[in-house]
Amino acid sequence: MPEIPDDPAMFSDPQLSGTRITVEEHIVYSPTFQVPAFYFTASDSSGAPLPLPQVIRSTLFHLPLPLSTLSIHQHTVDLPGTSSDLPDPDPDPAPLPLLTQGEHPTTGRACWYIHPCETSAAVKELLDHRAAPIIEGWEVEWLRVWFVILGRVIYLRSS
Amino acid sequence: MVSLFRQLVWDGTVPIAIKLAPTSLPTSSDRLLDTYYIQAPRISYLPLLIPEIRKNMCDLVMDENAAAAVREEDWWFETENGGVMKWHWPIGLLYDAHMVTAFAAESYFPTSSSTLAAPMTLLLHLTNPPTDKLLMTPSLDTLKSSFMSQSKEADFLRWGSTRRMTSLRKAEQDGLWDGIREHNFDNFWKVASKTFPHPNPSSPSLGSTPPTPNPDGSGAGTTNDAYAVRSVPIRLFLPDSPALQDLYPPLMDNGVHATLGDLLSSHLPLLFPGGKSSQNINLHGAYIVVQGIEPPLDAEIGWLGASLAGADGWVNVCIGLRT
Repeated sequence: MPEIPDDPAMFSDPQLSGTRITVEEHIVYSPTFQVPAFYFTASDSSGAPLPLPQVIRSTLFHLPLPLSTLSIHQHTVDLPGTSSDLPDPDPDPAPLPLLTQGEHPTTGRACWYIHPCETSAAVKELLDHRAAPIIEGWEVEWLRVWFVILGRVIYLRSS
Repeated sequence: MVSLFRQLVWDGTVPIAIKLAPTSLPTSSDRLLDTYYIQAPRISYLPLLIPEIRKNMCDLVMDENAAAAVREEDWWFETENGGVMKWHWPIGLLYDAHMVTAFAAESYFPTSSSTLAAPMTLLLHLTNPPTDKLLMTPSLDTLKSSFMSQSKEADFLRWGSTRRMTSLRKAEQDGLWDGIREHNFDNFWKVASKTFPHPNPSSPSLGSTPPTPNPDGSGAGTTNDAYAVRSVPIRLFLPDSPALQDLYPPLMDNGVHATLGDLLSSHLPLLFPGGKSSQNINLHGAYIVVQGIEPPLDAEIGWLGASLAGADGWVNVCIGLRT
């Protein structure tokens, strides 16, 4: 099962009065959605887990949507729900999860993770737009595109 | 027949003995009330028991000031050997997983019908939750979103999309959780019957070719057919291990209904050696527990997914060892 833990990264956000947070990032295979999923923990300098509203506002994230469009709860961040294409759509559609708290599949620790349910479709869409079809090494290409998509939401260091 | 088993699962309870951790009690407390026993529903969750425990135990042993200062969001439970109880696991799973580990050297099941099932003893702490091991604070909102998340995962495994769950109106989705909170079978299944699979009587019998399900899950004129799912949502729990999860199609390549024995012998061959002669006989001492019973190894997993799953759609199989 591919699992690539990064070294803990240090980020600081001036808006949080110079708070230093420690982030540990993992890429773990989701057996349900059968795609890689991005898991992370974020803690403050005392080692206590950072509350979600601070996490989402930290420099770890650079979101394509304004924060005001997201539903930020204590333990989840949801994207606004979209009405289905049923003949009689629900005027109050249920939100889609973006960021949730869950158990790391192997360590069992409490982590945040980017919900992987839309990953497959997002990667496929980008792959489909390529000029030439990939035949050999498509798994690596898939993973590259996955990182591109992840990088839209999460600050990924280049090194 | 399916409804009977769903009712049995819904009505299933496990005995829990709750003791207040000595360090949690202020010195002014009454220590005569030692243990509070509760018969908890298998499909429920520990945070949902907190109000009852508070009213019948904590408020009685503490004086008014101490009781008023208690913060329920700091509560946490652990077993006597230090296992922290997860909020988001159904109580039935917590109990079965604990029992197969705690009694690894003996049979899980009482040898005589007059022996009652042993209660699971939990120590209740009122402060300093271990925040690295526990999902943060057992609020009802977190618990609900965790439940919905598990339900959607189960939905995705079955059909390759979460459409059945996400196309429920928000009021219906809320209705599922309310059914669990209020322990109301009818209210829960009014909604759940739209998303849970049914073992269709016209499912292919041994040896015939199954109808190919369409991408949206409907196929051969049957919707929610338990044998047309891509994979049955099953998790295997070995003692002190992360859950094992894989794709478990309800039909084998030749169309034959897959059984628990097939699944276990292909995924855990050293514990469950395969072959027809070993159906129901396990010479190596490994045994399985689902919803508190030991199902026969020739139980079909398609049927299990429809009838013996928890409220979140998952069939949790705990594996233990007899001596």
